[in-house]
Amino acid sequence: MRAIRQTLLTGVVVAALAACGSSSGDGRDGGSTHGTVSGRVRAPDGTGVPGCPVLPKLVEGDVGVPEKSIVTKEDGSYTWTLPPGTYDFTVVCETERDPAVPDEYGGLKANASKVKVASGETRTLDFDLS
Amino acid sequence: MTRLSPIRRLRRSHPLAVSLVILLGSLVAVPSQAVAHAAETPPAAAASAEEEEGATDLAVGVTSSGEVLEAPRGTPTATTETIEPYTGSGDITDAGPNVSFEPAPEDASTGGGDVSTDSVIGADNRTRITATTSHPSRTIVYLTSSDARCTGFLVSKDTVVTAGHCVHPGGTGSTSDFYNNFRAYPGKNGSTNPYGSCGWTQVWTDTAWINDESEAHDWGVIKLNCSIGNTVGWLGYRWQSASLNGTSVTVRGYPDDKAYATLWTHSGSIQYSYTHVLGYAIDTGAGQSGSPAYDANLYAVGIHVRGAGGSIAYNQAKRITESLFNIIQGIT
Repeated sequence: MRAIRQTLLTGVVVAALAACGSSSGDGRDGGSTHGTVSGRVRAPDGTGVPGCPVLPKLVEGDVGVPEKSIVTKEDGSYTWTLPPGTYDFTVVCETERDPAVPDEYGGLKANASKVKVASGETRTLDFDLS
Repeated sequence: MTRLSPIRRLRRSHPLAVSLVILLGSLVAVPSQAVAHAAETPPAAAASAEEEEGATDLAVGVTSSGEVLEAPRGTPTATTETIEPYTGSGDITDAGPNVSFEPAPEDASTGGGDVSTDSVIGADNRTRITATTSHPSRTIVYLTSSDARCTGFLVSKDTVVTAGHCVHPGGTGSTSDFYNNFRAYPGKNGSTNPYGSCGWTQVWTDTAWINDESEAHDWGVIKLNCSIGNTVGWLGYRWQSASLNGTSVTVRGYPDDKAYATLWTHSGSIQYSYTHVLGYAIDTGAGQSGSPAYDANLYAVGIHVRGAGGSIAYNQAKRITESLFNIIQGIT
């Protein structure tokens, strides 16, 4: 009997704490450990392209996207830390939006749909521009 | 600083059980969009959740050489609820040493280029500010770091307020994970840096952001190595415990869906104001994290942090609470 009561009590405590850790969607509470998405943005010739903003759009999820600007580094690499959810990604390389984009790669684009980001996980997502 | 919260400890020791409970919890959860429209009386369950996550903001920081800083203690604010804005002298010599007029690494040209983003709610109502050397636009900084580009705003001669996720990834439990190489460009306008740029000496965020990635505590403060605020001035900031619903605010910053490093603005009313979070339908874009949400008297009441999308109806700011007000005041 005591063991059952203890199990029930533990369950209630775990439920309460887990509820605190889940999100309500309007940001009032906290604790949404991020997942990580990283990779490279590549030109058709395989070269990494710098200066391209990698934009995630939240499709499913209840924590808004942090509005920082993640732009590819010199080798075309990028890393996003994002709240758990499903995202569509868009990459648009334009010299108007970032002078670091080499002229020959201006106007190239890529996208990825329904990319799932899970808490604590790291996944690789490369983009091939066209 | 490697403390883990009870929630994270449980998640690590009993991941299956916690996942099951979260799944069950999500089945009975109130849809967030409905909550977002529920005005200013949060349900008791949500209020207790916030309480669990820590109702007050609590700071931790590091210096540019990696030394961990103790939480600043602001002046008791029994009567003080505002810090006044300042227009600045306009004289660059008042900024002291360390102001650099080297161009940003990516500076070369500017032009057009509009791409819609998720945090543009309905039509894109943002307008470009070309007179970036006017106050208060010149108090807003284009902020670069080892991680990303953001926006920030001056609140003293050498203190920039921004989003927590612009200074630390959150949830790692370690002060060694702060980003670095911060550089602030006040009033940047494309490739033109009218007041040069400054480096940093200290960076701060909330222990709840570092340990738990709590969206309720997503704020950051950077101490600059120059006194450019003497020249460009700063925004005031204030807190109030009463609702901010209906308050008209402006969110102004550097979105990356527009021409390179250009300053954009949009104003609107606060739709909901919880203890730590403000929601509004003011259009923003990636890169505007850390933008001020300031009222008609140039007092910041929030720090823009997140865009709408998924089940999130509104763009969001971290509200300046009494405890955050005291922290900022203590750092400045």
